[in-house]
Amino acid sequence: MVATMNRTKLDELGAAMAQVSDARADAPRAVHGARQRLRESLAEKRARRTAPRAARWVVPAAVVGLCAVGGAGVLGAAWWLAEPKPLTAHVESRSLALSGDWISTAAETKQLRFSDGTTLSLHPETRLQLRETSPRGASVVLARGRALANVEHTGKAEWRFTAGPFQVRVTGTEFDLAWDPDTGVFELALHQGEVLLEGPQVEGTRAIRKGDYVKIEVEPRQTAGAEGATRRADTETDPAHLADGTHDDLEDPLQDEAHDGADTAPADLADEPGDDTASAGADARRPAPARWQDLLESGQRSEALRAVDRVGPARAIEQASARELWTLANAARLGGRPELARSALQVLRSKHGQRGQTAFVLGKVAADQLRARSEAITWFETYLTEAPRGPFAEQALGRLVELQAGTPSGRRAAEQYLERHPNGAYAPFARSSLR
Amino acid sequence: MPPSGGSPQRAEGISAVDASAALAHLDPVMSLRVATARSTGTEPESNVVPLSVSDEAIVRGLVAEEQWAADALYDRYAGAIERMLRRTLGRERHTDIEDLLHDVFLQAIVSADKLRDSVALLAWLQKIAVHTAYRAMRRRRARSWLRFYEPERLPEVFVDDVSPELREAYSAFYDLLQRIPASEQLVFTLRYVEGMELTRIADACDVSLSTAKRRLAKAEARFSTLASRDPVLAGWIGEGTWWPR
Repeated sequence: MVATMNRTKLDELGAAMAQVSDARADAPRAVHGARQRLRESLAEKRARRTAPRAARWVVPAAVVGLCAVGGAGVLGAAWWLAEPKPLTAHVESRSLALSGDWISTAAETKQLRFSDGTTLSLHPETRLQLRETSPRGASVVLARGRALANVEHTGKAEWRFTAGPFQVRVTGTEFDLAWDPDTGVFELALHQGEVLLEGPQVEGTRAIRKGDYVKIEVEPRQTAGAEGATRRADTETDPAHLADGTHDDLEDPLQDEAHDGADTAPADLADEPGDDTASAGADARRPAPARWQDLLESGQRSEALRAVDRVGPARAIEQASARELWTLANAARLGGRPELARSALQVLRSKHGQRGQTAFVLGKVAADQLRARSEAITWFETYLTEAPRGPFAEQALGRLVELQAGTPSGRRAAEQYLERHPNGAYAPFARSSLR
Repeated sequence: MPPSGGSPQRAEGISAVDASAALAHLDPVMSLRVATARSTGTEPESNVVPLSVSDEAIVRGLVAEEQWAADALYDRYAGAIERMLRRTLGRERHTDIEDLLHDVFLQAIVSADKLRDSVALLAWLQKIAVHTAYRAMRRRRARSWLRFYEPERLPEVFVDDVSPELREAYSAFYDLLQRIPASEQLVFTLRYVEGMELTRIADACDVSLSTAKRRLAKAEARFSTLASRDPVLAGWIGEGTWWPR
């Protein structure tokens, strides 16, 4: 039996462990990451449910059939185990068609997981393409940005990375690779293993080993062959699009060879902006683009946000009504565009005088998406000042408890929370933060 | 003092004549849906998440398979459930917690029709989270006998205000918990780290109150014995305290 005194010590220890656990910097990432995957899983489940189902007799028949071929199956399994399996890849929980898929990030990060255990972690503002996959690896084109690659060392792995005019050949290693086509800066940092590097200013093939860091600057205009296409595309593309992490097809250094797969990438993975940089003649033949307001009302959030970019976010916000700003703010919030959501909400406050709820949503955007803790605290406090009995008062106070945990203000918020909402969603946390 | 964004206005300062603005102020999502339904004569597809609805409405929405309800459920409870998983399991990589959090909410959403009492929405999620955490512990322990299996462990990432002593105690605490049975570890962390009351722990673990008490007593005894031999934790459960005042 543990003495009461010891229980007090355990309480004290447990509270300290809770505090340390909450101080982990990666907790918001887990919540954000799981949200994206959950949406995809639910969409997948719904899609599967709408697919036609097999008749009832199919299952018993299949069982009989399976028994009949059981012996052959054992032999087949032996062959299957010996044969290398085709490579598959996922971004979060979504499968990728490996040939020609483009993956882009804007403000967020993404992780690609391959069936051989290899992972590619994409930094924000990064764009890459998967090409020429084989059971032993793939050819990856880093068109822009930075990626951390962890290539599983299987002994037979064959991965090739192209970043501008540089080629990196890999058999199993961990490294950071970056390429900026605007400045012509190539960077490679080896954390594990060894890679082979080829490219301008590199004599032949050079082995780069663990701990090595390579930075090579090339003249952007003098990069050879297809690289020139990158430069041309960059100069022809609307800079606003580039700033938002969406890029034109022409930007890809291997564009001429990539027509087959690039256009088939899912919109939310590839974020292809479409035909923005096509010729003026083609533009004239095309129907007028849909208004972002209409796209939002018809539920096409991604398209609507692209339409906002085409108009220009500042102009779109300036011309929108209060109701349109609300819908835009929500769409931007859910579409991973927190800065746009914040701008729309601030205009709702400054121009349309909408108080209360705007402060709460601004707090949510700041806390959950912008990771701006002190800004979030200010907005939640503002909400509680403007709408102390509002529908989000419990949540706002709970978020203050959470954001200020371990501080005197956090304790005060926790006490207030427990007094007003003893059975609320944040009550266990508020109690633990008071111990 | 509110951050930048407009001049002050009374909360009820919206004119009764301007009905659409008032509606937008109260609930932008619903106003969008009403407006669309009026213009098209059909029920629009909801594409944005209501910011605040009751738990009852969320459950009804989940049963009707409305996306906004799944989003609202996640918005409201993901933080609490993530914290519970993280505190219960200890040193997990964020990707693992992400996996578990995804599993908890996916299970909750697809089985929402089984939830009869929407008042107990949080308790129901906690129950699913506890079972998910328990399975994760069992899986991790089952794998641990494989000597050649080295789970990837990334260095812990903390904010700067955690002292080295606390970090050390944190590592020792969860390492030590690996040595007591999973069912007891669960009750112990829910009680002492998450700060749950025993009746709620019993409910979340789907056991009787007496079983929960028995497991907790066993866990306390085992933990105290092991901690008293641990150079880092002995100071915490013996005389004096390391707790920073």
